[in-house]
Amino acid sequence: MKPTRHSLVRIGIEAAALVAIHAALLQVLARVNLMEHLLAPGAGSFGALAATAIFLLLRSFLLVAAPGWVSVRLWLWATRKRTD
Amino acid sequence: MLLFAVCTVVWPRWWCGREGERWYSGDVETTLGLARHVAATVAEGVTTENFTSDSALFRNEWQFGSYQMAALGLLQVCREHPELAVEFRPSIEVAVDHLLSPEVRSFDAQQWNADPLSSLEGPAGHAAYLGYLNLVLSLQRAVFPDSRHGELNDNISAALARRFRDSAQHIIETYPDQAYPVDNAAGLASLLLHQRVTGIDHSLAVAPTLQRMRTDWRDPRTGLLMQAIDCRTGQAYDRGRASGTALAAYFLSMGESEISGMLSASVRAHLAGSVLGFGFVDEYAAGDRGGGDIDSGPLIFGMSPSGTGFAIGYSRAFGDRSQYLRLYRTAYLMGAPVSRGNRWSFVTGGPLGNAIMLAMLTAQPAQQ
Repeated sequence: MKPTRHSLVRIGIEAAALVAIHAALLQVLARVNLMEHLLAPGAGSFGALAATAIFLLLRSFLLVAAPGWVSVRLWLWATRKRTD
Repeated sequence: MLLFAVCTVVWPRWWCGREGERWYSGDVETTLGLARHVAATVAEGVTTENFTSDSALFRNEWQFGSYQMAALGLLQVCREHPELAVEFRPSIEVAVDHLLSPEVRSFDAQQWNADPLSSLEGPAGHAAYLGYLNLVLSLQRAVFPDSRHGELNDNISAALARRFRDSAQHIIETYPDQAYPVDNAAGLASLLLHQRVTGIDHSLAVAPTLQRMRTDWRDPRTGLLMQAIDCRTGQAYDRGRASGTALAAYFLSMGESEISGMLSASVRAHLAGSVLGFGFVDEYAAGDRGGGDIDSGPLIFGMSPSGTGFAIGYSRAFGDRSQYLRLYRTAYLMGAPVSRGNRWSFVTGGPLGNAIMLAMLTAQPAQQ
């Protein structure tokens, strides 16, 4: 029993952490103008571009791949439990 | 793997497209958040310090563009929802006042070494400043017949009509020796709209330029609008591109539907695509290669941020619901909207990006 509960908790924590990090970055970036860095990077745009790229990659993973990834992990946990 | 594939195909397009249908149908509650954000941006003011380009010209152009797109977007909102005019008309007036200010029009005045509004009687082009401004003024007059800028709208329209008529190649220069069909599209649309509102006939003045838009200025293979024209010879010196074609289609749809429909169809046929229900528009057609620039933004595997955004506008104008929704999902995914109080905005948008998105998401049906 212990390994199964731990796995389910871990799935939940990882998913929640992804959502929380994304939400926090969203609020931070909401206070910084990014569009202009993206359209025409200036001399001091490296930091903004890096933060934007990381955020958009995280967002793309969260919204596009993570639902399937979490679903598969839950399915594996559920089927592993039934065979134990 | 099957479970992963099903989830990836179904969930993302549903989640990112939840509000797309409401935007497309013009739902008031959905529109209000972004409209309020853009109105607040206008009230706070947009300066060249908001932008990071190393070019002072581009920073000033984007300042102008922010106010112009904000005005267009808010006017469209008022046109579709007249009950919101009380809330947004003051912001529109402020945006127009900024457009007319010496600070905002300085980008054009410095390039021509002449003020665009003080030299209306002269022959110099000023196509971008006057075309984009006059489109706002003509639309303002269409939405608010008691507009206080009626006389200025008449004067600029007369100047543009004369310059279209007198131009040997039927194109008005944006800057000395620089002529762009997309900027001329804004001027043409402003005259066509002015004609509808006032009854003043510009058809003879604009007919030759409209004909160029139909034929000579379009790529013979794809029908895309050429990005730049040599004003001395009338020959194109850049290719047909999404950033110019899609924006020109949006502008022209405010005054007519034939040419704007042709340009929209060319973008759909040669540049538009989708992955997992997320739409995109490439900057260049298959077989053409090129890098990103100030017009397109940085290209991501050939995909154009500007072209993708501008395509939302003509999609709504021509009732292309499926493309509108596909492009909205991409805007939601990459734009990262966030709510703060009664305002809603795209995090990656900034003042210019959010103003453009308001204008595109609320584009009105193409004029028949």
